[in-house]
Formats: sequence, C-alpha cells, structure tokens
Amino acid sequence: MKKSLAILFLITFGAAGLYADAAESVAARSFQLQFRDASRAAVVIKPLITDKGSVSIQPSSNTLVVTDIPERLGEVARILGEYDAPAKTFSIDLKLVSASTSQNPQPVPPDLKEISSKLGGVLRFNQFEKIGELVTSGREGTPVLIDIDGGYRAEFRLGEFDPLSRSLRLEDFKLSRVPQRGGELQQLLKTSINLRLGQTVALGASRDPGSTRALMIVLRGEQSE
Amino acid sequence: MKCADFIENVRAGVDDAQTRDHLRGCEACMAAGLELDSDLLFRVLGGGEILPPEGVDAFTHGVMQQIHLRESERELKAAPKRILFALRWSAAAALVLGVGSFALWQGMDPVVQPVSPSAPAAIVASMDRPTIESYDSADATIVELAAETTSDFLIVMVFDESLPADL
Repeated sequence: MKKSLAILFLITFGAAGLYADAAESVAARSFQLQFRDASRAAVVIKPLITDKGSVSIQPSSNTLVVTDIPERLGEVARILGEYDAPAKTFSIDLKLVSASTSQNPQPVPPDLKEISSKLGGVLRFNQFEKIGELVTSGREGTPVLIDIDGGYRAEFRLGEFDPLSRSLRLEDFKLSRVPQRGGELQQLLKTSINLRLGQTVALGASRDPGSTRALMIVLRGEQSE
Repeated sequence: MKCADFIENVRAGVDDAQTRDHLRGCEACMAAGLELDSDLLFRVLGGGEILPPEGVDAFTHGVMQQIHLRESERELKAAPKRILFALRWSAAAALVLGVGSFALWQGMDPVVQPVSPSAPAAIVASMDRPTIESYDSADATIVELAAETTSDFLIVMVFDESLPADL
C-alpha cells in the first residue's frame, strides 16, 4: 500500500513538473537602443522570437518591447547588446582567381590549393591562377571601391554586421571590367553577399556548368580591432 | 378637505391613502408635513404594495430552497470525511490516466517544448543567412556547395548565360 502511494506521489509531482513547463509564462522587457535604429534591431532579433513572443517598436524613444519566454529574452538581450554598438570596422581580403580547364595545367599556387581541391571535385577546372589580391578595411555603412590587377574593379558597401549569424553584408557588390583604353566599365555581376566572419567564400561565375572558364572571387572578412 | 386638514392629519399620525395622495401633489403640505415627520417623504413615495415579479409563491419557494441548501452545507461540513478505499483507487487511476494523456499531448505539441539552457547555440547555428542574398540576373542559377563546418571554405557558383564568354 505504501509503495503504491509512493508511486502515485511521484507521478503526481512529475505531472506538476510537466505542467509547469507547458505553462511557462512569458515576460516583457524593453530595450532602448543608443546606436542603432530600433526597427532594424527588430529585424535582427526576429528569428529569435518564439511563437509565444512578440516585438513592438516605439520609434519616439527608439525602444523595442519584446515579450517572450524568459530564456529567449536573455538571448535577445545578449544579441541586442552586441548589435547596439558604434559602427565596427572590418577588413575584407579579396582575391580574384581565374579557374579554367587546361590540357597542361600549371601547378596550383599554395594559397589556392583548397579552392582547387574543392572545386575540382565538382567542376572540371584544373588550372587556377591568381589575377589579383588585396585587403581593404572600412566601417559599417561605408562604400568601398577597389581596383584589382588584371583590369577589374570591385565596388560594394559594407553593410551592418548581424550578430546572430555573425555575418557582414556586402551590399550591391559589383564586379566590373575596366577597359584598358578608357571607356565605360563593363559590369560583370551585381549581387549582395552575406559574408560570415572567419569563413572563406569563393564566389565563382561562369556561363554554364560546362564552361571551361570561371572567374572566382574569394572573400574573407574579419573584424578589425 | 383643505391643506390645513391634511397637515393636521400628519400631525395626528393619520396615514391614509387620501392624505398620501394629497401630499404627493402639494408641495406646500409636503414641506410642512416633513417638518412634523421626517420619514413622511419615504412613506409617501412608497406607493402601492410591492410584489415579487414571479409571484409570492415562487419567491417563497426560492427562499426555502436557499434555506435547505444552507442546511445541507452545514451537515456536510459537520459530517466526518469517509472516503472509501475503492474510491481512493478510482481517484488515483483517474489521475494516472490524466497525467499520461497530458504527457502524450505535450510530446505531440512542439510549441510547448521547454527551452534548455544550451538552446542558444543551436539557435544561432540555424539562423545563417544565405550567402548570396540577391543576384542581379533573372536567368542565373546559384549553387552553394555546403561548407563542412561554419569556419570552413564555402564555394558558391553562379551560372549565368548573360556573363561574357571571356571572363
């Protein structure tokens, strides 16, 4: 009898614990931003908000009011703390690489071995030549224009850093060819890139998967001190 | 009868229907009568006999029901709590069934899953933005070769017929 009652007691308290989790209450917290716009901050934290939560913006005081379960509110506070800061400076390492198919491929330069091994397994390129490389840096929101060896120009704007995905947006990234004898730039591609910090991204462009030639833009971003 | 007669009635404590009717219509007599009897106003306003809307019998029946109910409550409070052994086990079985159903229901509903302290890392990992957010050509095909880890090398190929052949 006592044993049965003990089991019943445990089941009852187990049920109480389950119910407590299910009925986890939401809380509200306001965040007044100093450096960033509250409406943009709302977009940054939106992926964190659960089905129980909500975000409201008070433009007059540049404040976000977030309602959600306490665990998420803590994470929102952490992300907003990182986001609401003066514009950060980032350095961008940009390489321009020509990938092609050759009957007699030249040895691959050491810093292109990784790209050659990864890309060679998917496409039929076997020759990789570096056209140009340079490192530039700038603060969030600033435009960047760089002329690369081989007659290419890259233009983009350093967008906002997203602390949630730890990526920097390169807005309106345009790669153009500069005519040798003057004249208008020949725009090759225009895109917007989310560059995860510390990750090397090789953006290759070619006419079709069967092409024997591709232009590779190899990018790597880091936050400057 | 004159006003003076009605006032005399009030003074003498006569509370007949004729006097009340007069006092309702005559402000001077009412004012004089109130000086003699301060409760006069309320008696005059009372009008006819008040009857409950459902009738006297229904009202009485309702009152008696309330009395019986109170008596029953008192008896129950005074009685010793005798719950049979079988009844206890029935209650326990019902509780176990309830707990089991609730646990099953909770397992089926992802919304109420508790968030563990280690959740933020998983959240961040699943919130990657696409590497190529936009590309200015409707005919392009973008192929992202997945990185093995977040710090790994990522290759994104853009195949676009509008690109020049001599890239």
